[in-house]
Amino acid sequence: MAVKVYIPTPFRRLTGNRVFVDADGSDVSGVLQDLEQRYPGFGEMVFSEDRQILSHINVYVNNHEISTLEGSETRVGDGDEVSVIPAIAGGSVMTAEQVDRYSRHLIMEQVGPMGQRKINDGRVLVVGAGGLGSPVLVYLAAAGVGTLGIVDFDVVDRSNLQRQIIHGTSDIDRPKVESAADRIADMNPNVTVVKHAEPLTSENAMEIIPQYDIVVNGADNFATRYLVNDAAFLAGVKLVDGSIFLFEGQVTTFLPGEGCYRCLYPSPPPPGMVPSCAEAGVLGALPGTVGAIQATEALKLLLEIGEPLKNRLLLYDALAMEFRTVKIRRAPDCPLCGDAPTVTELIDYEEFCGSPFHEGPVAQPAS
Amino acid sequence: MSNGPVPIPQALLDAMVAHAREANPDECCGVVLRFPDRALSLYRTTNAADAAQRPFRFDIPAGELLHLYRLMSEREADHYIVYHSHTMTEARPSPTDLRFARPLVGADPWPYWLLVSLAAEPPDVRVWRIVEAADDDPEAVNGVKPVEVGYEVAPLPPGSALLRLESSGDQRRPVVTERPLGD
Repeated sequence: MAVKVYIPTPFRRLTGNRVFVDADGSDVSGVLQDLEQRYPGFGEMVFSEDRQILSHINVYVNNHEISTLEGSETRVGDGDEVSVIPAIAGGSVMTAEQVDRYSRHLIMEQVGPMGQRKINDGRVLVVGAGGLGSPVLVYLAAAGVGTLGIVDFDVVDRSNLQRQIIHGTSDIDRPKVESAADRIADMNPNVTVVKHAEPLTSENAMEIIPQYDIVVNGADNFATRYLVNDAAFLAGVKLVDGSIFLFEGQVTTFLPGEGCYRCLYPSPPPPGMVPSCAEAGVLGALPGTVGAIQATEALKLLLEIGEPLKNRLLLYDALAMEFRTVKIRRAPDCPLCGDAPTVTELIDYEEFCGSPFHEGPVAQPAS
Repeated sequence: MSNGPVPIPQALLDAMVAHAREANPDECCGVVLRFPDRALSLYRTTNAADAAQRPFRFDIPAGELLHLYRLMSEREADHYIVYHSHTMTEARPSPTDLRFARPLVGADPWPYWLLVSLAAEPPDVRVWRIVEAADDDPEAVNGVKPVEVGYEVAPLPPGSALLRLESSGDQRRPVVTERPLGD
């Protein structure tokens, strides 16, 4: 049986640039084998090693794809026209690895590929790689936040390991930024870690914080907490604040211009009045709960979905196992974000808090 | 096929970028044919990859390709450009692109590959040839590699058109129709 075979441009070099060629055969398979005989190179373009028609090759008989007929056994006769069409296909380098890794996000309507892209493009600074910073970093890295900055000048101490889950026993005495960066690299090599192995100060805060979309605060002292608050506001960067103490935690989100830590706590407590975690202790799992909430807030902000925890302070009481939220609002007389601000640049936070910077019996909110 | 920059009218570049934006978060795909009188026709094609895969994959339906190939034969047109978008990554043929292109490399004429990347704003447009490469070439994937040729903005030849292909009916027994873009 003689059929006419249409040869598309990609294969035409094999047929002497002929658009239509004749072939013999009683079915598709026979026609293709005849073409293989007549035109060297045709067979390897069409057949796999085990003689199946390659998956990217589509064969049509009179404009009907053969899988809707009888496959390669589809009968052909005089006057039928067979077309052999190689696919034009491809795709981007969201690798199979990334599709796998983020698959639970990709199938979510509220996240999906666009949301994952926002997460991948996100830049988040985590202040402190301690009790709160550990779960925050772990979850943000796992979710694929593209750039994670870590500010911490401390080294890992054995007493940290009761709650600081990003570090391990083998990390003792290593700088926390190094230990955290190694853990993140192992969890998700797609994440870029920026290590700021220095104290956050009035001198460097306005260099570091504006590089990020969001700051997640896990600082363990009031001076740093006010510094981060002021710098984030002045830089127009969103801030997710968290603190822990004994069995209790607090979380809130500040969007620039919609209230700040100073609206909530205009001045720090007198030095020594509120003991730190180092002095009073903290339940090991507590920072996991609070840090995971902070990480959730950061992801929501990156995804631009849901209701951020703004103008609300979430209070967590682990002993009673109760969550409460109290309303907070921007204070018109706030010295930073109020109507007539008096704090228009970073100040001396050691002096403001009346305590040695980063040392001593500083403060309550702690890691 | 030359190694110099490929002349492409601005209207076509704009149409490809607009297609990428409209398809986002999915990848878009399409073809540009060049006719003997130098007129260019851009055809938006359907992305027939599985819905869940479309953000990372494109697949021009065979029925639409058959339509285009027949058009090329009937009107002696060149297959000038295959374009598609990358929504999150650079405008460079990916290993996936190269694997799919492999069986077709060496065909003459064989189109330039144009990629629109939405990872940049404004979107990045880059034009490539895909050529055979030795196995020990570090850029080689499956025996081919991309070589960037770039593009230069050219006047729109008279008779050029912006079109979309639509497949109706069963994808495997498609009826392909051409419509002007904007219809």
